[in-house]
Amino acid sequence: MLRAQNLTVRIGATTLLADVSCTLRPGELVAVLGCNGAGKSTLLGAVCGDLRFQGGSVHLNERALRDYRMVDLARIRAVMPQSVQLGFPFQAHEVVALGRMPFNEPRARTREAVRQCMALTETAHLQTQVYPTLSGGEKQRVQLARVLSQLWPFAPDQRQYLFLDEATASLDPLHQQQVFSLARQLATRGLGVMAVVHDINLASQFADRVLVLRQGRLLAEGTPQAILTPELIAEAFSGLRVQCTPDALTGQPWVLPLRDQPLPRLGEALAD
Amino acid sequence: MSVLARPASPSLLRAVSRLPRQPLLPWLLLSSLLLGSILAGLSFGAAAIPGVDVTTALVSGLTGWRIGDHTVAQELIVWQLRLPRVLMGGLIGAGLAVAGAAVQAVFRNPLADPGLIGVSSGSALAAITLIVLGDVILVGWLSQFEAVALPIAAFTGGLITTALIYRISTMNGTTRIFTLLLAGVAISALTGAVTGVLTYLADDGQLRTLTFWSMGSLGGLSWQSLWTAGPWIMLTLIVLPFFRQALNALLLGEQVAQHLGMSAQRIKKVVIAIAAVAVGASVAVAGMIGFVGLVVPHLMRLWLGPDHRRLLPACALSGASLLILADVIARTIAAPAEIPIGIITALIGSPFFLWLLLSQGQRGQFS
Repeated sequence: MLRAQNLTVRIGATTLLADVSCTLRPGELVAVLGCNGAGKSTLLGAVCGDLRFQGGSVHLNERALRDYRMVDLARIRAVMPQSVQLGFPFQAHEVVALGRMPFNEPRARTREAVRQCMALTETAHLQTQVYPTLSGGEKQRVQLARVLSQLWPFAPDQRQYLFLDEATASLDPLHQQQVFSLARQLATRGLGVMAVVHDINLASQFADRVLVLRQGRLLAEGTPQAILTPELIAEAFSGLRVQCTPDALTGQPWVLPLRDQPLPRLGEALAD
Repeated sequence: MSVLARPASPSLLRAVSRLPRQPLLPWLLLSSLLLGSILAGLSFGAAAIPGVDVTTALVSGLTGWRIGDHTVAQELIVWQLRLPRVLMGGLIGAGLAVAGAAVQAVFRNPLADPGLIGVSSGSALAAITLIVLGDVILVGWLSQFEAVALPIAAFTGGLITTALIYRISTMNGTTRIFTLLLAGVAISALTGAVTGVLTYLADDGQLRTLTFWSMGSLGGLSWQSLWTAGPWIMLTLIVLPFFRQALNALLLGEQVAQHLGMSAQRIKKVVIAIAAVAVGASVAVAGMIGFVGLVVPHLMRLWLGPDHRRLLPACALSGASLLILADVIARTIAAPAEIPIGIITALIGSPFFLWLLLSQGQRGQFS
């Protein structure tokens, strides 16, 4: 289990994360919601070891994060960053194979991992394409394949964790659904998955639990049914007005933004 | 700076991807190229020696047997003049190219140059300072050691400059690559200015020696330089391949490298230090030789892809061949005079590099 307690992250005089505690169990998909700058990526960075935190602690499988050797950590947790800049002409399958770097294994096994993970992310047909020539969405799916290959073959008893930071940001609707459906299946297989996401409905459909952050603090935590209410969403997203309709079958809320929002108006802004 | 920031063009990359990546062929080609270059390096020169005589001279010298019909003078030329020059030239070319490939990975930019870490300009400055102000610095019995002091000063001067740039760009235990780049540019400009002042102060004899440092030459290489500077470059050629996978990971960014279990800071530190050692040792015995560290890795990357498991050995082989061949041109084109080798590599390298930029610019921007 991943257990973060009273995390505080400061950069200079700015507090990015204040006293946030959360957990992630194997087999669980947790979505992290919040407006821009709420501290979602900071939370993710702190729990997967990218950021130094000034207060609090993070334990992964009952061991403090800072006691891990980096390579041991790489074998049990994979991170999909918001963006990866790669200007060198790697072929897509070579990029995916980089995910197997923490493992000393025969090439045949790496090839098998690459093949399966590219199939999972529907990138098999891009195998020999040169990475910088891919479209934004294709790049993102190739990166996802790389991240997944790090945890392949997803053995149920491994207590592994997957962190996704807006992994669906440049994907079309079908692939957005696919990625979260895949994350859901991996969680069912025993992975702990934490996903930062902007689409509230993706969180509502697929997540077991939702963490809502606001101004670096944990605003709410719970199942989508319990906490995704118009009141909470308005509070979390600076007054965003939505309508929540429970799904007839699952009871999970469908969140629909209303047309009339507290926005700056063009006329008023130009008049100043 | 805009040049450095531009990634390679899509169409060029697509063309590259179509090239088959056979496993064995490149190594056969590159090894034969190196062997051919070595042979050419041994036979061409002020006095041309046929390939057969070169071979028998090599065997005779090695075994003590008297075979073939080469003359004693030829054996002397091959063993005492050309062999150390070719071997050391090859080592320098390999070291510069491999260091270049590694520095490009650290800067995550295919157009970076080992000179960016300040080692070449620092070495040159130290050497030139000693040449021009040597009479002031090396007083009394110390002046006997001028020949030894020069390479040592160049080597340490280069390393100190790199260390300075590294310190400037490292805060709270993290080296910022962009700061490193800018600090490198600034320090290079500064050392260039001081070098300019010293050049202004130099007399005619000193100026001639200066040319050697600023444009490079393999003319001063001997067995002694092979024993003294060779090991430093060998160290680089042996250590850097251990970082082949780490360098691959670094291309995805420092954060991703950490996610994959690599300490980005450690990679940066070791690679920069090792590259500085190789370039510093080269400059110490052969002066500043440009473009090898920039063009060779770029060319090999276009041919074999950016995977450092293939790139580093390919750079070593082709960098060695290129410098040996450039040296052959340098000492035959105006024989018996020798042209500084830096002029040859720049004459071949600059148009090639410009062509690379233009073909990327045209196809990259409008496709």
